[in-house]
Formats: sequence, C-alpha cells, structure tokens
Amino acid sequence: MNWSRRRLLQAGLALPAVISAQARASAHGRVVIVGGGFAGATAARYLRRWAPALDITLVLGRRPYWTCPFSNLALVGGYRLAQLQVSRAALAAEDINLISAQAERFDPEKRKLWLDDGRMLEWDRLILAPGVELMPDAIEGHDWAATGQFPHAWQAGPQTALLSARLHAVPDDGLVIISVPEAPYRCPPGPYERASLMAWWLARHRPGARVVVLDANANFTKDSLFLQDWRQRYGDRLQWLGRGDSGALRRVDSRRGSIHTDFDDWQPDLACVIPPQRAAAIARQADLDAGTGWCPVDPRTFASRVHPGVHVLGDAAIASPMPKSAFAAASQARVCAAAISAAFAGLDAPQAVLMNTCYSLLTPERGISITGTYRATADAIEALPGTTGISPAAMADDVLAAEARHARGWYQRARAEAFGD
Amino acid sequence: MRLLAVGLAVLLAVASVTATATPSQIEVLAAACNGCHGKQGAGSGAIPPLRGGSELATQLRAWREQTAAPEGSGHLMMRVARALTDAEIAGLTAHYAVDRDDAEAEASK
Repeated sequence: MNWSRRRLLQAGLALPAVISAQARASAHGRVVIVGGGFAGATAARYLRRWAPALDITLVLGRRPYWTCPFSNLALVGGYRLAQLQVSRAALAAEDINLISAQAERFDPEKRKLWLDDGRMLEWDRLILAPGVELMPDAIEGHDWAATGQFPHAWQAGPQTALLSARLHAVPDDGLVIISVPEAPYRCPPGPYERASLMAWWLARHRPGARVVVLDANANFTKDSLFLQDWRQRYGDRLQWLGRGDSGALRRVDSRRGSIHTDFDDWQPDLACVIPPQRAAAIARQADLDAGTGWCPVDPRTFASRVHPGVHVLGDAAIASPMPKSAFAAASQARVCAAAISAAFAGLDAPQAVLMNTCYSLLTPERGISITGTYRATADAIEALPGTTGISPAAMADDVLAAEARHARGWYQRARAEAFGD
Repeated sequence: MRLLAVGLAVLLAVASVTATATPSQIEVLAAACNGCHGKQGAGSGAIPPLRGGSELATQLRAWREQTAAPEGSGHLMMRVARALTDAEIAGLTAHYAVDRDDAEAEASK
C-alpha cells in the first residue's frame, strides 16, 4: 500500500474521532498538576498531546530535581550527580505553565490550590503527584538533623552526594549498614540494589570492608536472585538480616553513631538509614489519605476515592500490587491523562492498561528485573495471569549484561518521555 | 485530479488533528509499549525498535504461547506478551506499521 492510500484509509477510519476532537477543543479546561517527577511530568506531556486545548499548569516545588532511578549507580561513580538532574525546558516549550513554588493546601469543593508564595490557582481537575515524605522522626533517637550523620539518599540530590562521599571514606576494614523500613516505601528493590552496588565498590576499593542490611521486612522483591548473587560474589562480606533475625531498626544514637535493633547493637563506620515513609503532605490534605498515610484511588482513572475531582498518581497513591516505582508512576500518569482527556471530551475513559518493570543493577554492568502487567477494574488493580515474574534464576552472564543494558535504555526513555530531557 | 488533491489535503489536515485527540484503546496500549521502546516505538538504547507488520505479530504470539524466547534478554517480553489478546496484537501491529511509515515520511522530508 502506498503512503497516500494509507493516509486516506487512516483519516477515513478516524473521522468519528475528529468530531469529538472539535467538541473538546471548544471546552476549556484547567488542569493543575502538583509534582514535577516522573508521574507529574509524564501526565502533563500526555495531557498536552491528548487534550491540546487544556490549560495545563505544573507546580514543581522549589528544589532542583534529580531522578531517583540510577541514583544508586551515582553512589559508586557510574553516573555523576549532575547527570541525574533534569531540565524542564522541554516542558515549558510545550506550553505547560511551570511554577517553582510549593503547594500548601487545596479546597476540593471550591477547586482552588494555594501556594507558599501566596498565589492561588483555580482548576477543573487537580492531579497530585508529590511523591513521599520521609519520616526520620518516627525512629527513636533520629530526626532531620541526624540525616547528615545517617544519610538516607532516598530523595536524590545532595543526600546522594553525601552518601557517596561517606562511602568513599569507609576504612579498609569498615562496616557499612543499610537499614530498610517496613513496606510500603518508595522503590521496593532500591535498598538491595544499593547494597549490591556498595558491596561491588567496596570489594574493589576496600576489600576488608563488609555490608550488613538490617531489614524490617521478612522477605523482599527479587530476594532469591539478590541473595544468590550476593553469596556468589561476596560470601559473608554482604549479609542480610530480616525481621526474624533482629533486622528491624529500633533506635539510633546520633552522638555515638550507633544503630540498635531488639537484640543487637551496631557501631558502623557508615549507616544509611532509610526512614519510614508516607504520602507527601499535600496528598494528605482534606483527608485525601483517609487517615492511612497513602491515598486510595479508582485505578481506572486514578481519581481519589475521597475527592473524585482530585487525581493522585505515583508513590503517594495506593496502587497495590503495583510498586512505588518511577515506571509505575509514568504508567499511571498515561492512564490518568487518557481518562481526563476523555472526560473533557465527554467520552468514557479507555480501558486502563498498567505496567511496571523494576530493573535492579547487581553490578554496574549486570542486572535483573521484575515485571507485571495489570488491568484496572472499579475495585482493584489486577495482575494479568502469567505477566508477573522475575528474571530466571539461572541466567547466563550475557543475559544479566543485557538486562543491565535494557535498564539504561529504559532510563533514557523514561526521562525523555517525562521531561523531554 | 485537482479536486482529489484538495480532498487529500483536507484529509491530511484532519489526520493531523486526530493524531492529538482523545486516545483510542490501541493508542493507550501503544503508549505503554513506547514507555520502553521509544517514541513511536523507535527504540531506546539496547531496547529494540518496534516495527509493524507480520513479524511483530508472529513474535508476540510466539512469546505469549511460550513457543519461542526473545533473543538476548531476561525473558521479560514473554511475560508482557501474555497480557495481549489477539485483537490487541493485531491492533498494535497495524499501529506500528502506520506509525513507522509516518516516522519514515517525517525522516525523509
């Protein structure tokens, strides 16, 4: 078939959609999005594509944004921190209004959002994609001031640089502890990828040092693959202690630099303490989290169960069995953008297809993955039979290398899709 | 002949409007594919491009039925393919065939 005939056929098939497009073009809608991470930025760009007449505002916050994906690799020199920082120039070029201020509160009835600089924004739909709030204060003896002593690096940026510097200062016979909070938290495999990459770096530069993972959970994602790899590569130089092995952190002492569980006292050279988490403050306004710390949503549209004119995406939302990952957040953002564009056009939302893949690096050049594909119903997100699973246990080395290359390919793509950067 | 040209121009304009309208089921699904495989399935680093046509349909069906495995990967697509119905495989195959032509037409300008 030649090009013009295909075009004619395509255009002919698309005629009914043209009418709805015109109807939509006359309907002026205002969408305000809070959060300039993977969820918020992806939502903004897909709304611009699928509902071009919308007035779209993206509230970015006041700090620069560094991607959490690949920030573990930055700890060991595989990426420079500056490479993780994203530019928002492409978003501005697509006629998305960018605001560098902090969202403070909203009124779901009056449909208004207030910012910390005194400005007020009116909206027809509000999308909240603010990510997580870390709660160091929830750990006895810990607080924000002590995150300099016990870096979390769970929001990438200066903390990533700090943790990397502290790793490089670990002595040759040093002890590094990574403490993992009880789930749910952002990036379920993140602590274990971090342990892998830190152990990899230490084995080369501080061969007498060891890593202990203190875990408040009894098991973890891809645990069979991680544990097998750790045994083979590091033996007892990388040890995992789960909840049943007194792994749950009870207390820290920032003056002594010590770490305490129910039965053990540790005196590490470096302790990376990942604090418990909940949805960021703006997503807990107006009872949006129904008192649970995370926001219940209708998974077909990601509209809040509490205030349906407000959508919640990404880490702040309850989207189990999807994990709190950048991949899941972007997938949810596309589904939400499709639903909102359909609603402004007076159409039903298309069937929601949700996906996740979490790649994890075992070393800078070897990787594994977990994936799942889901369909949303009114009540739940359901994994489709046979779609969920992890990399095979007996993967050849070249396949582990291919997974690591695919991880980088995904990262480039997810960044380009969300930020045009 | 001129009338045909005018008609074609109108249809082309219409087609460009629909390219940015409320997405169809297949467009939402393709957006999920593009989340890894690049804009219009053009590929991203080591993640291969999606080309429409019978080869894509044959591969997706074989992976779904587990009668073949994708080369040089951790079998991730064997799990993803299980999510797809026959109608969706046909829709995606057609989608990427059209998109590929558009992308090549753009590139040759």
